[in-house]
Amino acid sequence: MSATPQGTAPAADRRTSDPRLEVGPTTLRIAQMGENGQLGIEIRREEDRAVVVLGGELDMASAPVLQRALADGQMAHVTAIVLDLRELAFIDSTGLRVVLAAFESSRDRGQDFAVTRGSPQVERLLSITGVAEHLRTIAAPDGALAGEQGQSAA
Amino acid sequence: MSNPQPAMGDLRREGHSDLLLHAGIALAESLDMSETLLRVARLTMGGLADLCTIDLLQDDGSIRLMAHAAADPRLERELQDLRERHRLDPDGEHPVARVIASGEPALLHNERGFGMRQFALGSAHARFMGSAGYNSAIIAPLQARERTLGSLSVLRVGDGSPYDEHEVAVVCELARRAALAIDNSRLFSEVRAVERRLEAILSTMAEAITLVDEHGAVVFANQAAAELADVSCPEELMGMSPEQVTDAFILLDEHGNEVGAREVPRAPLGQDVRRPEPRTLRAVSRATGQERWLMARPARVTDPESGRLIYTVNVYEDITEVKRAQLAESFMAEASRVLASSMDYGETLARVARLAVPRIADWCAIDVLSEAGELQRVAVHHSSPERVRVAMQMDSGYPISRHERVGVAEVVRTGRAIIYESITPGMLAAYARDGEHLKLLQALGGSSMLIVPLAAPTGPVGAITLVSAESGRRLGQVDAALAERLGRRAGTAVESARLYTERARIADTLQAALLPESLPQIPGVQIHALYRAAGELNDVGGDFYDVFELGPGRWLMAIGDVCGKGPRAAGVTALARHTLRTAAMLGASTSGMLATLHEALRRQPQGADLCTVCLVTLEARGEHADLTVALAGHPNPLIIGEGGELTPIGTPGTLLGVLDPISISEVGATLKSGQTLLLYTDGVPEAGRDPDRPGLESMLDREPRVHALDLPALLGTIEERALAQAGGGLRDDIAMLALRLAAPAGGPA
Repeated sequence: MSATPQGTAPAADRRTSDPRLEVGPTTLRIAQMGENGQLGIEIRREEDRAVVVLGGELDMASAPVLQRALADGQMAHVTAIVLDLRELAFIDSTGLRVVLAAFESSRDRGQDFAVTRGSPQVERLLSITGVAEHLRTIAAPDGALAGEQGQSAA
Repeated sequence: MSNPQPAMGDLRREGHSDLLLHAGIALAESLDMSETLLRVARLTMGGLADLCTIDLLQDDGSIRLMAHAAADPRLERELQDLRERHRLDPDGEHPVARVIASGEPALLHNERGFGMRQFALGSAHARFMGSAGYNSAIIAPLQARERTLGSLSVLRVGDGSPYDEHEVAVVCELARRAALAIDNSRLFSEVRAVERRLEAILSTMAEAITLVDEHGAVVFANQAAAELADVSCPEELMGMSPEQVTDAFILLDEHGNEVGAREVPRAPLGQDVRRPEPRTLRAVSRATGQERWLMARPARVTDPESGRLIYTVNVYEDITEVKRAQLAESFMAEASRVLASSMDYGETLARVARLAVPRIADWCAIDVLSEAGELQRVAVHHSSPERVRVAMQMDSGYPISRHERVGVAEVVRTGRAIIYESITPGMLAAYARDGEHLKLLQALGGSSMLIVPLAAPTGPVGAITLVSAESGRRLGQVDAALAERLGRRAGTAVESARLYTERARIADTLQAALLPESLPQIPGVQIHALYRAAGELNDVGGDFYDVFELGPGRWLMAIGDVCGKGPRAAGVTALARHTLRTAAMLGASTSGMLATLHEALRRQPQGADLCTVCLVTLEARGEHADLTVALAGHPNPLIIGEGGELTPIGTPGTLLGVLDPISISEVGATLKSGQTLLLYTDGVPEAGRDPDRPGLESMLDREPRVHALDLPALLGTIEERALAQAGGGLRDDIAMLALRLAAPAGGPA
């Protein structure tokens, strides 16, 4: 497996798994962002929403890592989830499946779900597969979720 | 004090030549220095002197009486007593001290008021001098190699005539000869002491050392050399020639090739070789078969003046432990590399057998338990092909039965290694099934044998047999340890290869079920498909394609990609392909077929199975064909024009299985004669993951342009480019379907 938890992950893990201990933004960082094409994942808790920053390549090898990261209990306690794809260089159908699974479960929980724009390859795949039409796309994770509407050709 | 010059002619005339002759004999017979000096002192009695003392300068600068003699025994005793009590001051005025200090002889007379008593060392000495009646004395320095070693003193007492110049010369000559003898004796004892120290050092050294003289005979050998040469003590080696010593061994180089006696760096070395390169040798004792690794370092010892070879020093360092460990590691590394290189274990085991010869043994055979439980010899190797033929002849004529309770069968049954350190004729006779078998066994010439299991995690899957023959090496525990490591590695490789082959067979079967066995013949249309699975042979891919007739003259081309790999993806792929066929049979439109598949995927119990599909219908109309395209999350098909221009057709639609609702459009298009329709999965454009060159366009838009190629060449070229872009390791499957209208009789424009 190309992407494995590194560095301070265990300590961050402890904090993120218990939201009551949180003071201010918390970060769970898995691997350096996009180093050597590996998948980088950074999950940031901002008040009542979670920003998941992805970097590198999200493919068959790394998709399970993201899947585990998104299965974190904390994800159920936020009102919105934002996937920041701006640093994601590559995504394949396996990666897309994990993104769509996250989208589905957030919809089931009544959470807002949005993605930012990604690299040309990511944009192209989202467009070819028709996924872009179903996801709310925002310019940057800082933007107010409700304020920006994604492209909607449906 | 005078300073006389000795004159040799006068010595003879004076009749003192007898004295010098006797002194010469005494000195030449010299064994013990003090004994010799005493004899010299006594020689002066009877004419030349009444009293004689020989004093030597000591290392600490003091002067010590070494020998003395007196004509009168009383005098002799008294003198000894006195000199024992009174030490001569080396810096004092005593004539002995002065002569030793100056190196000049002295002639003294006790007359004209020049009292010898002034030199007395005390009142007792003065009394002694008086009572003895000192008259005249000669004190000559003992000089050798321009160093003063001491002095020789002769005295006359009483009324005898005082010494003259001639007698000074005689005493000086006697002193010179005595000095030389003393010096030689000292040098000799120094050399002996150095020799003894060297010998003590060399004897205890771990390296085997021999010293060979200019005639090629061993003149020194230490204990380690004796042990190395398998003799009981170093003395046994003395006088032997180096050839006689090395004849006890088979000498091999690092690669196991025999080294000729002449190639061994050892004494006597040629004059031109000053410092030959050290050489690593493997010495196998002819007597015991024991193997040793040696580093041979010879050195020449030459006379510093003449440059003539005096000795050759041979140092043999025993590097067996280090070398074995090093060889074992490199052997295992190489064997592991070989075993990992291919999943064809028959081939890799044959290579392992070749690796083991001659590094571990002269023969290596590998047997593997077949699926039916029979032992099959998959590899046998010896450096001589002729002997391999003999072994093969025996294997085919006398195959090993797995029911035998010896050898390979026993090792495979028990999983435990067996060492036959020494194979006796009796053992061969007992094992042989008949006379012919015995002859073959004898022809193999084994002297020592080792059998280890091919140990796989589930148990032994075979055995490795190592036999030592002409090398004379005895295989032992060290070899067994290495062979067992090899056995475990190879056993695991055999089992993995079997599992892999089995899985690959299943994968092939499954994959074949997912793809049409052959494409149908479509009148007026050429069609070709290419599929290449990414990664391991035994991963079932998620790409699929299909071509079938919808109705008279209406054909459907389908290509799709199911997310993931392995059994689950294979199941979804089969579902997709058959759902599409069923929906088509029921008369659904392309978008209807896709909707049906979407529903089928949504009903899958585990959910979230993604699938992208591209459907193209085709109706050939002579010079052109009418197409409709429906895309469900799949890349657009391309029409490649006669001039190579690329036209994507179709409108993007939603992928299937996850998102509701899906939106699919059916879009019409026309394929003209000479144009190529290309359907593909995203494994093709994504092969390189180059974000700056998205799509298939970059692969098609380069020389040579593919539009002019026939369909197999066209797809082959795209595949090559995708592989090149992926750097050899495809991350996703590649599937492509290409078609063209068959050229009408007139041919394309």
